[in-house]
Amino acid sequence: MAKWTVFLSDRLLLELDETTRRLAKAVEDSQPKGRPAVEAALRRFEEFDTLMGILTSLDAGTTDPADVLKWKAIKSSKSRICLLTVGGWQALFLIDERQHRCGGMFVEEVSPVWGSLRKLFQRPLR
Amino acid sequence: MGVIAKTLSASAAVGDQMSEKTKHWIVFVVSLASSVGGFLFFVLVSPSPENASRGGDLAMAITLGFLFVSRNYGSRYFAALTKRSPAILAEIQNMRDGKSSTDAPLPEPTCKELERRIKILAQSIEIDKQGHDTENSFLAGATVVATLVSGFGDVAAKHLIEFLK
Repeated sequence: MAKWTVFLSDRLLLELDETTRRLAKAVEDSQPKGRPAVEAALRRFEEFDTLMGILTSLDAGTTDPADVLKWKAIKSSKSRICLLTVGGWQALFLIDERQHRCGGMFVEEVSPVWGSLRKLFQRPLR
Repeated sequence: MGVIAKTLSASAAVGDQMSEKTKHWIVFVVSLASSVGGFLFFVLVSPSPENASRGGDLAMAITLGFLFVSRNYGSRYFAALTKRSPAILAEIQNMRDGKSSTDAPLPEPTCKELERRIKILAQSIEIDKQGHDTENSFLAGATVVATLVSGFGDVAAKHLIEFLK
């Protein structure tokens, strides 16, 4: 089977840049509000950091997309969108099965609990 | 097997969402329940004064749980703002430029950046101090009750059993 290739769109890279700056600012601004606020801000930042680590390795070709991406639809052969979910963050990839290409489109914040439960039923990209 | 592993992973993710304060309260309530519950059990259910301090002994062991609940948010705060966020931004820039990710060191910090880092370091020390204060309060509360039950539970139980007869 042909190896999957990954590209990250300009929009996604712009969103990642903006989100990093926004989260770093949120962490910095959380300190006067006390330790629970720091804890919440750090959790969001660290989950995003983990997502970034995976995106970086996908972009560099050191991680196989088939190992980390999952189809968005639970039961549909027509779905062309895959998800990479880490904690409360989710990156969406448009899949071109013919050319074996995964295009990172955008990133969004989701409920970490529902994301974990949803993972139980999602099919991996294979 | 895969479903079990996935379910465990999902449960762990849910558990990870629990805040430090909630975990402190859980350890505190379990410790208190062990002290008071053990004492009341050997007074009301199975009256035996010599065993009434056992719940306190167990509660003392449970209070050690506070040491595992506390997190090093201070150093993580410092690392997030001074190391990780600049590194992530550099990685994104590399991806934009089409360069491969390298472990090249970040540029030397300027005076303004050093000033900012010192401010962040002071803030991270304050965050750790808040954590130690909270941990000490919970530890003190749980240990006082556990020590009293452990040291004087048998005497108190003996008087209480006689009083209730």
